[in-house]
Amino acid sequence: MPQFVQVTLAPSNQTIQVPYGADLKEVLHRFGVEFPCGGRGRCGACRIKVIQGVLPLSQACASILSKEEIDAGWRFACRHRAEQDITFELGQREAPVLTEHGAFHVEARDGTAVVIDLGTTTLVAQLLDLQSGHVLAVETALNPQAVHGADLMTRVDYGLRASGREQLTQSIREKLGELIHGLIALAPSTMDPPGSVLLAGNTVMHHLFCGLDLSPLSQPPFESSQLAARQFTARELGWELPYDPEVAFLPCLGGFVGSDILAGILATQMHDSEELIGFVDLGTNGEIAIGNRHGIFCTSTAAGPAFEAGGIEMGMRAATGAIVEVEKDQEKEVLCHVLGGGQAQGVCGSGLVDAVATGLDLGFISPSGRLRNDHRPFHLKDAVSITQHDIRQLQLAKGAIAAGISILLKEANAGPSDLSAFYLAGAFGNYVKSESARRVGLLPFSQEQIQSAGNTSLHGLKTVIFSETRPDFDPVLEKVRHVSLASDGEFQETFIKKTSFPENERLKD
Amino acid sequence: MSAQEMEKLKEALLDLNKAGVLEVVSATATTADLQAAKLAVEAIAGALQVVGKRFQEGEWFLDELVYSGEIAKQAMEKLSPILCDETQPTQGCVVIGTVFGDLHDLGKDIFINFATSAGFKVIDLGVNVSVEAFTKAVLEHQPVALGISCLLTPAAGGIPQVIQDLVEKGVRESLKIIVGGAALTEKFSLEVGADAFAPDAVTGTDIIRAWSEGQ
Repeated sequence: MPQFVQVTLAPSNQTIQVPYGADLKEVLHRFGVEFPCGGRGRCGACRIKVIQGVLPLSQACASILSKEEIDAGWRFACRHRAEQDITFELGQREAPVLTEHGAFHVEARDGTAVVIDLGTTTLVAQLLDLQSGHVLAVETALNPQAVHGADLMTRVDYGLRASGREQLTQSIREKLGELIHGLIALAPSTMDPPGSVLLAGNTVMHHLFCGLDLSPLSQPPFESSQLAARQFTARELGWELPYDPEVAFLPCLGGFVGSDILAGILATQMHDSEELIGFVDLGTNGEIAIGNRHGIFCTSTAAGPAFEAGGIEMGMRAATGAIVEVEKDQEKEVLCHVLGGGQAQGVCGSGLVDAVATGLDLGFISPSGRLRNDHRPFHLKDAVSITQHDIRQLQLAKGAIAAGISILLKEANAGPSDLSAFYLAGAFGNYVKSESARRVGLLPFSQEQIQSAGNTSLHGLKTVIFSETRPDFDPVLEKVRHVSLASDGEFQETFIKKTSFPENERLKD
Repeated sequence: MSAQEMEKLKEALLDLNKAGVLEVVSATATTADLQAAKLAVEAIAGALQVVGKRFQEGEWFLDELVYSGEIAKQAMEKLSPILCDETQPTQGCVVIGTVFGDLHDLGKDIFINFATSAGFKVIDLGVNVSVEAFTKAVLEHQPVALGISCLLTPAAGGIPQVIQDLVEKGVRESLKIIVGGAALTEKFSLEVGADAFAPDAVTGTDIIRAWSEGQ
């Protein structure tokens, strides 16, 4: 048995060495592959086509894939381990499809382009083949500005200091330049270098990348007059790239609602939908939009880092050793699924929501969020427990999102059942179980309504890149109304109520 | 109102039984018995102290904290016609506001509810309050304490400006300053010249009560 095996991605021929038996899900996660069902072998989004080497057929694949597909070498990456040198193609890059509602129309053109999701915490850049619509390479990195504040307002505060903004602007431009060089290095040598770069991000990220004055975003009414799309040449940003491509940042919708929401609207095609749909991007900030072609309401709410397991005592990201899933068996025993299968070392955001949902079902946690057993931590597996403080952090985070959704529904004059679909974007949205999200009162929608949407910022950018003509955003922007929660007295009242769990009905007169 | 009835009122509030609380105080209000009304107020204040303790110990969370405050407020409104001239606050005056640059009022409003129930007369300046408005209110009301709330990091720099202006107007020495909110820490609060940092509304009320009673 070899200690290491080689995993090679076609067609870019990126090769990495991984320990024998490594979970392909974790290997591919590093390449930006998404697992909408959380790697449970249900959705088939992580399809891979084996070109060299052998992957024995797993049960999940045998039951979902057709005989033709299996014979052609198709498998689900999430159900396999790397046990020999292997080369395969990623199905996800071949057909960059969001959901059955959102397949892209790719207008075939020569050349390549780069799309970048500029997040407060994470940066994701993809190199796209404009001929086929394929993703040629993916680079991810942490936002280097995060050392000057994890949350947006702390970042803004730093940017208001002497030379603070220049520093933040320079660090993000430099980092993104590195990522683009990395993408070019990863791409097959036959491909042209990118002819354009397109970015989306929240309004603070937009202002910092573009080098705009932050002070309007730091004080009431938290609006800026510089929300428009911005264009640069790569050279203006300090990027020495072949052909000096044009770089554009999508327009913002308002002071606290950036082009990440615009991209989400484009990705879910909310602006064209006759039926009412909604989406939330669950990160440090929760971006929420609800609407249809007749009008869209959107907002953003500070949820804090609990969904990313930040501020949770034994919190960790969804990596080996993380409890990603918690449920109860028929004997009411708590069952935990640990990523990688070994000892549990911590709990990630989806595991936390599952754990609280299970704790509520088993009566370990009261409807007000109190740990019933004299505040003693709720033991999950091995040395991992969740504490009273962890539950409170989750209550605050889910209260903010649930209240935001409630206010937008009211603005749209609709109830939860009026939405034909509600999309969950972002990494947490991909992993969290919809029944747990519903159980803890994070989302008031049914399991049928809730759908994972992957990275809607990237999907939205792709709809722009792949469209035949440079799209006109004005008709979309005209439909959007920003609902400010900071000045909404009803929001605070709703938020307080939503920090409780759903059965606390006596408090809801 | 008998000791038993006082206990019943207190229990109803601690059960978050709004109808039960309002039933007892409405009955008291119809008798127009001043002494009974005073005892009802005492029972409510006692219950809210227990609420605060439960909150501080993690037994209760925001929903119960705010809801119990809301019930207490409605109960007090029922009793107020009888108490009329007897509503003199027992603990002196507190001025509070959210510093300029910030529009949040949630924590401030919970604090107001608790401070009022603890017997303080509270002057609420609202949100986005300027340096001048803070100083003007302090000069006008001569409070025991000034409370400043701040939840947004960029607005926190306004707090030392408020304190500096009070120093310049010569009124800083005669009052205590307490600050609180998500953007602040105890270290920051003391460095910019506040007398205390309130990690939550209940602890904040405990602090100003101790100040008031220590005078």
